[in-house]
Amino acid sequence: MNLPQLIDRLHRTPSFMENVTNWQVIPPREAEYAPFPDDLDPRVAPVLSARGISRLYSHQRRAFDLAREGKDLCVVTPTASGKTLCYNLPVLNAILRNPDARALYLFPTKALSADQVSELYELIEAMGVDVKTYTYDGDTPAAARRQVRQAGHIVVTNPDMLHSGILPHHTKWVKLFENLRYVVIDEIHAYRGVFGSNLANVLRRLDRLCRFYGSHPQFICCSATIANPGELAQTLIGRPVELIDHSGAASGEKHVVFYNPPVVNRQLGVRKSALQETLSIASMLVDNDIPTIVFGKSRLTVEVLTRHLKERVRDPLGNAGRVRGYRGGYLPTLRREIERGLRRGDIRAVVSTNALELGIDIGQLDACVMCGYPGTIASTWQEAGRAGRRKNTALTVVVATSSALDQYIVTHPDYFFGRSPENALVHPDNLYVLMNHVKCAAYELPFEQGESFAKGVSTGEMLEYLAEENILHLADGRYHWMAEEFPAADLSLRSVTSENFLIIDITRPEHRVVIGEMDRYTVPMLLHEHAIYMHEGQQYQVEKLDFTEKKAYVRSVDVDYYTDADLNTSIKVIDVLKEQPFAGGQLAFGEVVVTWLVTMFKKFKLDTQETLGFGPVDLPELEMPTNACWWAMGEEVTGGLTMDDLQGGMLGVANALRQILPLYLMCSPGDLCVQYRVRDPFTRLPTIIVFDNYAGGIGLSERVYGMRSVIFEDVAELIARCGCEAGCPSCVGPRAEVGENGKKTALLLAERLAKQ
Amino acid sequence: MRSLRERLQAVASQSAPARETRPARAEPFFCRERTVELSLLRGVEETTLNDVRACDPLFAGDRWNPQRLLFLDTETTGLSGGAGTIAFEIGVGFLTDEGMVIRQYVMRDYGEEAAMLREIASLLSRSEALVTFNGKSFDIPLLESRMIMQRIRVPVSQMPHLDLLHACRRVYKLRLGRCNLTALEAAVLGKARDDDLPGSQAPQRYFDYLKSGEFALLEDVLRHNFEDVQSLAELTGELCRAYREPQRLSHPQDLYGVGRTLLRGGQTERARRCLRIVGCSTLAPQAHRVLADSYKRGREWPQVIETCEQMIAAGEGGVWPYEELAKYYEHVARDLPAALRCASGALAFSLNAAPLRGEDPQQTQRLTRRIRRIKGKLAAERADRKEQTT
Repeated sequence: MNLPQLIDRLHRTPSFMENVTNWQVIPPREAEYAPFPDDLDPRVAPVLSARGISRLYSHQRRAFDLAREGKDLCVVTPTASGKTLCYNLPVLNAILRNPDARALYLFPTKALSADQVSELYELIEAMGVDVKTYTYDGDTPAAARRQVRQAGHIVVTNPDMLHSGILPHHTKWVKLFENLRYVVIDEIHAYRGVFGSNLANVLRRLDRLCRFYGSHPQFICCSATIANPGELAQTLIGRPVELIDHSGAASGEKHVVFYNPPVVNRQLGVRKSALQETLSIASMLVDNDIPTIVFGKSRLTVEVLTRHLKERVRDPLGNAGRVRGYRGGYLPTLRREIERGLRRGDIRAVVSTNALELGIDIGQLDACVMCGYPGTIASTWQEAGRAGRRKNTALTVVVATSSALDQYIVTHPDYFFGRSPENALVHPDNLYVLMNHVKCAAYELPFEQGESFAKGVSTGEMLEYLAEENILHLADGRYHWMAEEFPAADLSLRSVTSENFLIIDITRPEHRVVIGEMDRYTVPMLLHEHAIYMHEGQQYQVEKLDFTEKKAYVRSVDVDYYTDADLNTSIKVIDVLKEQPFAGGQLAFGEVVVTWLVTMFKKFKLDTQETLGFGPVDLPELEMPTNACWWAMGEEVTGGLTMDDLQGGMLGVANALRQILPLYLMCSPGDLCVQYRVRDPFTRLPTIIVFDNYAGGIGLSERVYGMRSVIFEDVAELIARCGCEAGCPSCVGPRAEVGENGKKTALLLAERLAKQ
Repeated sequence: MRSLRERLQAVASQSAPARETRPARAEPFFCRERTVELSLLRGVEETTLNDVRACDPLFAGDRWNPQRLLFLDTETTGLSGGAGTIAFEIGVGFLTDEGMVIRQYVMRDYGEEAAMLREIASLLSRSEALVTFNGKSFDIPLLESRMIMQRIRVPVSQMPHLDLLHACRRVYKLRLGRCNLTALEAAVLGKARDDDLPGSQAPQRYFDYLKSGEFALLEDVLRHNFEDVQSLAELTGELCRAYREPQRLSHPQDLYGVGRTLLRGGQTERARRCLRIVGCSTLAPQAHRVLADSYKRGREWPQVIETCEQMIAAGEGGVWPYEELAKYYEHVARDLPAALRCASGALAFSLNAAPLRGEDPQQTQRLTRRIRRIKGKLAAERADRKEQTT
């Protein structure tokens, strides 16, 4: 069966349709074209024509026109809509007219830059013109670097390299800085949270240097669909942008299906596992040889799905290469191989984490199955965008888990289709982030007294502080760098440090192989000793974790269980920044240090998920300074409750809050954490705490503080409306967790809090 | 150039440096000048363009007037080489009829950098060539970076430049191993520094001075830098003389280095003379090999044969001379029986040496292949001859 036939049959299958809560058909769209602009260099059009492009899409033309007018712009377009021409055309045109002109391209990762630049190379080669495009990143050989600095017309790099390799050495890049015409920032939706806050500051530093060298580059940003691409671009580059969000590219018919697994136990609110349902839908697609991508939310889900799907397609010789897994942690060479296989069509199905959300070129597939709602509207559209060629029908199935967020989304399709996707939040004026960049900026160029680096924060005060600390030195009205260190070396732009752990397979002692790597924040959860680590569907047991050497030694095993570690989170208040009395206690916002410690892990049976046992984990703790908001509840709220009921009730409120806050803040659930303490050591009261899950904070908990108690009205409504008897994963959590009276108490607490 | 006040300060500092506090601010920057007698500088004033070209075959200048040289060494606020690293002290030296004038510039605060750099720029524009130690990768890029920051455009890195680090390495590396300035001073100039401030402590001294205003904190830095600049001149003199009169070198390692550098600079005859002398020392195997190579490149075959045969007689160079002879007989002289003799000799030598040195399978394979090929050619030749006679 081909896909339209299959869609037709699903429509007529009652056992499938009874679980479908919404079936949306997005009609195909015709392309909108515009002619090549008159002032396009005559060498460009023939080369494009030879590649089948005899005119532009309307959004490409608009980008060209706005760039010509000197505007900064942000282009928001779906995948496969000819995005790269939106910036390549203005840039090439500028360089062809003035060979001194320079451009800087920024991509969030090395892999992406390699991918996107290949198209540019082809164009330049076909034109036979002397436009030098060089990639400048950690892999660029030292011997080639001088050439890049002197002669590169287009320098392709990533924010990390700009931050530590280019800006601090700007005197070696005089040609680039003096003649910088365009700065292209692709995939700006990837710059959210702390990465985005850092990038915004790196761009402030870039701007200072450009002013020093007398250049005024224009910015061209590209984004996938998010709620606030324009706002994000403006925050990142620090000035207004023109937004182009109407795509002129054609698209085929798209089916978006919300699938809610059937309830198997009414009282407990337990539904059939999303994993099982995803597996059967994906199997059906794979059996019909329809190119499919399956998204899992965790590495573990991806591995389990890969393993099962591989079984499904294994030929008599045992080959199952048609199905592959893909996630961060696979080595780059393996990932490139999988990407190539997908483009060529040798690989018919891939199971991936959101690692494939970004613009890595894997060609277009026909179907997409998501095991669980990806957490945000934006991610859902990005993942769904992987399915659908220009003219073909595409199918996306979102399989809901029993979490409240998933349940809310699949039962409220209007919310999903009606509302704009989430905001990508950045908070460049976060003091922690800002201070680091002020240091880097002072190293690059002394600050003038009275100079402003960030509009919202007094630069003068920061400079004075750094001078008191003897890091800067004030002389003749300028603040000079006065330290031996190289400040950019101590600052990583990404929340996750670059210190990865290597995973080494020692199944054959004489032939040790590195099979993957993992960032140090995930290591305690997945690579503690005795953990079952899954890689490409194969199970490994961790034999030894060498924390100082950053190596995990694993041995291939075949067992019927997997492991999951218990994470302990503790929070220490450093400073209270805002405070107000609240229900006999207080509502507060401040700086905290969060400490994570993994103390034990559990073993679960693969198919039934029953607990088989547990073991201890002995690893160092991890710390993160961030911002938090907390409600310390007095008698007015907690009065008349037993300790047990209070415990269950607070857990219930925290669980519900965790589900609802992302909808309110338009952020992804992983951006913040909700914790509760029946007796908090700091407030000495029962306390619910919300903190930003990024070092230094990104402004989320401050917004929660501003909402006061409004949020609890919705918590109460969510709990009251849920059909379960005494708690289920869709509201306060299962009865087994919150206790007999958990749901009742949670509702009572939420209502009392809402009244304040 | 110098004001009276400045000279008075210089005198005062010499008599009682420890008590000196921050110099008066009348001048745009601090400058101290002292002269070192010519007699201490090991003939640097007599060096010629030929000497320098011998020292540094890639020297870019076409003039070398000792009185138009600028010896330069900086003290900086760090080693990272990025835009925030600053040369707070710049020591320069130039030769006059009386001796070498060493001027040490210090920016008493960041505000004085521009004026100090302009002074350096004007000195540079009056000079024909630079002499530094590791200046090609450190001092000069750093100065260039600072000048860009102060909007002074002088193409410093385009100037002819003798970097003594590289030149000294070529001569002294074999003997000394590490070629830092202190090691060279000790081994080549026979000087030892008394309680010298390690260069790595200079940044902290400067920061401490900025905080306290105690100029005396910088005296150790200035002394260290003064000796550095003086050593630049002395080393230049010593190096040039090594090339001019190599026979006076007392270490065969140095002479070997001189010979190889001369060879690279195209001064073949002078180079061979050096290497022939080294050939009488413990470095004979290396020297003979370089010599034979040089003859081979010049297609001076009798000398190639002679040198290789000498090596074989002395047991030098392992299978190398055998193989070279085999190549010569096979491809140049086309004397296949002789070629076979040499190749077999090489294999025999290699296998005899094996129990001592451990077998080198690649070498054995290579030699076997050569022997097989020569034998093949011999057989074909014999067949040819037979055909002709019949």
